[in-house]
Amino acid sequence: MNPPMPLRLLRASLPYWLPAVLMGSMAVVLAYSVDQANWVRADGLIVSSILWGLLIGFLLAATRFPGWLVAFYSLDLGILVILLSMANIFALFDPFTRHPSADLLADMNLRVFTLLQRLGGWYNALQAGNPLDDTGFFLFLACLTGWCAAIWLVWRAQKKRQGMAAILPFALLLGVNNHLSQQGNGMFWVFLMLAVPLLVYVTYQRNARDWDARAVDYPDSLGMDWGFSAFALTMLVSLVTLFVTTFATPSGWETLARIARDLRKESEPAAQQLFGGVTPPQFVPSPSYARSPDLSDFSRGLPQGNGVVMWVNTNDPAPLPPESSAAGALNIPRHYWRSNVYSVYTPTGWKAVGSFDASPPQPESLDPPQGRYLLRQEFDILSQHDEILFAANQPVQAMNGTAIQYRTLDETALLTGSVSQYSVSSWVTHVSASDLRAVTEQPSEPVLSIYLQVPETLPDRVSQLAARIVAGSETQLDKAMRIQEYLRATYAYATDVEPAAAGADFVDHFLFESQTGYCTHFASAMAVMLRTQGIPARVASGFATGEYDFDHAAYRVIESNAHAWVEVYFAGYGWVEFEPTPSMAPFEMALRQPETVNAPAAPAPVEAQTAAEPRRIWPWIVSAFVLLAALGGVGWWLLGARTAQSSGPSGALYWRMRRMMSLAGLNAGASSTPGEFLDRHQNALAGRLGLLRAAQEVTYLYLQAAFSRTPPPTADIQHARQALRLARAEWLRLIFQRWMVALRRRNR
Amino acid sequence: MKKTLTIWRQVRKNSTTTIEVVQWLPAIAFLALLVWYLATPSKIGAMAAAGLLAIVAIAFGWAMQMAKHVSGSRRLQYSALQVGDELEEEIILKNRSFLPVLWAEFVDQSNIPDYYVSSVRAADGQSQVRWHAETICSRRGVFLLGPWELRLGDPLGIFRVRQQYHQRQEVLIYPPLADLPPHLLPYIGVQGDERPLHMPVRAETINAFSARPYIAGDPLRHLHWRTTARKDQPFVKLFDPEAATSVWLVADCDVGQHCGEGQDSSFETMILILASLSAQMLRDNLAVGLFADAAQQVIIRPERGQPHLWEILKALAPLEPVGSRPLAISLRKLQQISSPRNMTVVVTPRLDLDWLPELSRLSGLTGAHHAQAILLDRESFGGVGKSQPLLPFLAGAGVHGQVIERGQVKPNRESYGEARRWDFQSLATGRVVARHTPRVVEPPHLGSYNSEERL
Repeated sequence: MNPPMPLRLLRASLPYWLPAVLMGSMAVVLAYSVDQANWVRADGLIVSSILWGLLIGFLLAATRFPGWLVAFYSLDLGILVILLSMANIFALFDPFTRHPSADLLADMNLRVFTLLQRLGGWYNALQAGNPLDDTGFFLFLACLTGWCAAIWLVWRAQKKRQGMAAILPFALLLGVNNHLSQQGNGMFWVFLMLAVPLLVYVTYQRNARDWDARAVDYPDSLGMDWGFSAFALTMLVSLVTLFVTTFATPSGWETLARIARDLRKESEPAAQQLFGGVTPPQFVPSPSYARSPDLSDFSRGLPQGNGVVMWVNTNDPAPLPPESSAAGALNIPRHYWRSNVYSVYTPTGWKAVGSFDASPPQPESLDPPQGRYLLRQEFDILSQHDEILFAANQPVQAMNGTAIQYRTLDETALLTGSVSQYSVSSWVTHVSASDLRAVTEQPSEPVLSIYLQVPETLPDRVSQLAARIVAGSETQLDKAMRIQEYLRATYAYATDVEPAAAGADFVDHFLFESQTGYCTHFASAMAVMLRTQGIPARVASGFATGEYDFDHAAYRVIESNAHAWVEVYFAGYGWVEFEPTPSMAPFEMALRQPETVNAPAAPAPVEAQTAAEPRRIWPWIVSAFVLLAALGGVGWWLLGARTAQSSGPSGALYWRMRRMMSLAGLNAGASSTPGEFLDRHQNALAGRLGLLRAAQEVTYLYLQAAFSRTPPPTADIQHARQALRLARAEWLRLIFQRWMVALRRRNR
Repeated sequence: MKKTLTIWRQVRKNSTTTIEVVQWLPAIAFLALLVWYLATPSKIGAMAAAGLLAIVAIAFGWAMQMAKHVSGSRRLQYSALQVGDELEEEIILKNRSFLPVLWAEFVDQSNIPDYYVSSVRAADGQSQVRWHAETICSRRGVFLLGPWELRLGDPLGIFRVRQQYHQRQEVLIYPPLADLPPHLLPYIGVQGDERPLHMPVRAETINAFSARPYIAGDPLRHLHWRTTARKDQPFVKLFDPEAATSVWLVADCDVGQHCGEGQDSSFETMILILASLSAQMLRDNLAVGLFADAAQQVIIRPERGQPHLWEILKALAPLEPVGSRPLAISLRKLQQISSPRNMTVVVTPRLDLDWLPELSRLSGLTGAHHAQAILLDRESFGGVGKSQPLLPFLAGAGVHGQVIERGQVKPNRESYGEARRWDFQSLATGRVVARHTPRVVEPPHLGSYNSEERL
């Protein structure tokens, strides 16, 4: 009785899905282990390289490329893809994160420039014999190694049928990775369990291919026996490895000791009985702290936590509840609660300079200047905090035991005090883009002298990059917007960023090497880049707006709302906030016309509360595209393999000849017989005797294999194969000639 | 086959078993891992080294089981005697191991045309597998069964086991026979004294009329001892020709004269004619002999009786054309052993007539119709020149000539070969019985061929 159709299909397709599953699982094991190892921050690229390498390996194994061409092709492709990934070129094609009006070509140009600068940095460091602080070089090599190992695995196993040679480099990578990262041996054990069946499978396939080539008859049912044997072997090897690992390593001895300790624990009840009165110390969580990002030392990370730091109520209209249908239509102005400003940039951190020398202007006596309005805020700080308190932009009136420190020189005001509940009024930004574009007045000399400062050690490539970004922009606002958008679109947001090497410039490291960071990185980079272009800018720190709590009728600010942003000085308008961090929405008020000022705005999303990377759709789109292409390729391969398999080596040779002819434009209808095909194209091949004879010979062998009782001798097949190979030059000439003829016709 | 290193060998009476290393990479990798493990006794190193060692050890253990407990044998069940007969062998793969035989490839070096024993089989543990290989012999000749080889391996492809069986056995395939056209037999339709061959005397005669030097193949009982003693070399008697009239069939084995390829070549047609003539003449109770100046001179002295046919067929079976062999010289050699009263039938595709005087001389004493030439028409066999114009010259020399064209003489498939294949018949009761069976192998003929050894 025939087995059911699904089972038959499963068995028939076994040669295709089994190696794919085994090798795919092995790649996943390696990728997972690399991901766990955390070699560098962006190790996701290594994982991607391994998985994409595996897919490319399958596609290459389905081609008839010779080994040297595969090596050349895969190496070139790998280098290109990895470098482009490192330069974030692919992100340009992400329609969800990309601004529709952005100039694709210009952005690509900038990213390529960044990449070239980075490569130049590697070259210069190596040339000078300096240590290479950029982990990107390691990342590049690791990606390339994973990529090549994956292709090697598939190529050797699937094409060359050399299981051991295929698996060993992969196993070596996994072993070294797990050993150096001191991971457990669990994943390596899983890898071994996958490797043994793959070895057995490849051995079977190698034998079968050898028998096919020599036209030796073998039963179809051999595979089941091999499958059972592979299972038994896998179990045996797994037991041996577990046994040896347990008893042959210090860690194994440790395991044994742990078992002993576990046994000892069984005596704990007795100990409890004897010492039950002793209470173990309890874990007491430390209280939350209202700590904004400390930019004076870049090595300090971003404060994290979900503890509520403070409640803030303002006299702006409250946002509508999310369930309200009009919630999205209202524009509530968004403010950050500032506590510090930084003016001097050093490669390792920002510094504040200058002393506060005056009292702020009083709102009763001074109306808000142009581009600003008065905002009243009530703060209820729940956490511990410093003397410096929080206020939106420019505090002008302090109440409830607070004081304002004001510096006339650069119009900077900060709020101080030791109270936890206070009210403050601030002049907050409310200016339109057209107003800012119309600014032609230069800032005062003191502002320029302070806020155009960059260290002499700042690498030139930072200013070169900034110059490229702002090229073509006329106004100060446009330049600031271009840099802001470039940073938002190009660099990834992450909180676990590897620190820059000692002596390296923080901004340079971010822009050209790590290319990933959080608000400190983005804000610092924007401020420094603006300064290199002659635009006064500084970095402010404090807390982001927070989430509006309708029960409290106030904004709830939590620890992870700690944030840093950029303030740019516009003559006549003062300091205007910019938001280069991609996890936060940009300040739309900077673009809004004055008449829309009073319209309430929607609350902005919380920055670090989610602390997740922005939604990236492009990998999925590219993946889907490549997957479709891969499926198409695999389908074509299956079709070709089945056609070839159905009629043995003669059939494979015949269809190879037909494909060659097809490339030369010599086709025939599906209903044409091999003889008819040959007759039809006899004239086209008349001038190429070698190719014609090879085609005749191959066709005859194919007919003999298909219709004769006795298969064609192996020697004849070899001879025909050799003839076809020798006719390649004529075939290429035929292609060229037909192509030229077609070209001439088209021109005519 | 890829060059390998033999690491284990066992020689038995009729076979040699070896285990070869196919892949060196696992061993090299194991050594490297061992060094790593010794340098840093980490769990990963231990697991990798142990895993690889386990793989190699299991593979070697598997190969040893295959080498020691698996054997193959083959037995010739039905042998072929003549073109068209069926040859059948039973092949047995015996596995005494508890491990299954995942694959066992039989590599046969037999040279019987269209006979393929080479195949791959599998067997469960403690079991045996039998299958048959058969062919219908299409070419005459002397062929070899064996030697052969059994290849096995472990499932990881690290080791290969080879069991080489050295036995070989010759299989002689006689040429086919044909129903000849009546005019080809020279004595048909000729009456009275004109008939070239008088009724031969069955008994040996003592009427010897002369003696000649001994030639290899002469019966020892024909030695004339007195002359032998006088001349100090062996001499044999020449008997009264009327009492010992025989037919000599002469084959022209000059490779330069024959044309055509395969079964339709002039040479194969010549063999077919000679075999059929001898069969027909023996059936007519004539004494028939064969002379062929091939690589080794073939002399079958004229004898009567059906069993003598097999002698002639046996001599014809391995006959192959050789280099330059002028027919005139061959006939001159024949004169030394042939009596003038014997009839000589020459089969040749030649267009020259250099040999005609020699043939006339062979039949000089008795005149016409004691020599016959069967000319194979070269043109019809793909050569150049027609044989028909030679007939008047032959007639002028007193030689009876016949021209045979390609396809004119065909093997009689009804009488031979097919009668020795399996043919079944359904009875009215529904039973199926064998109407014909192949030729069972029995010791006097080809003997059993069993290479199985006791382990």
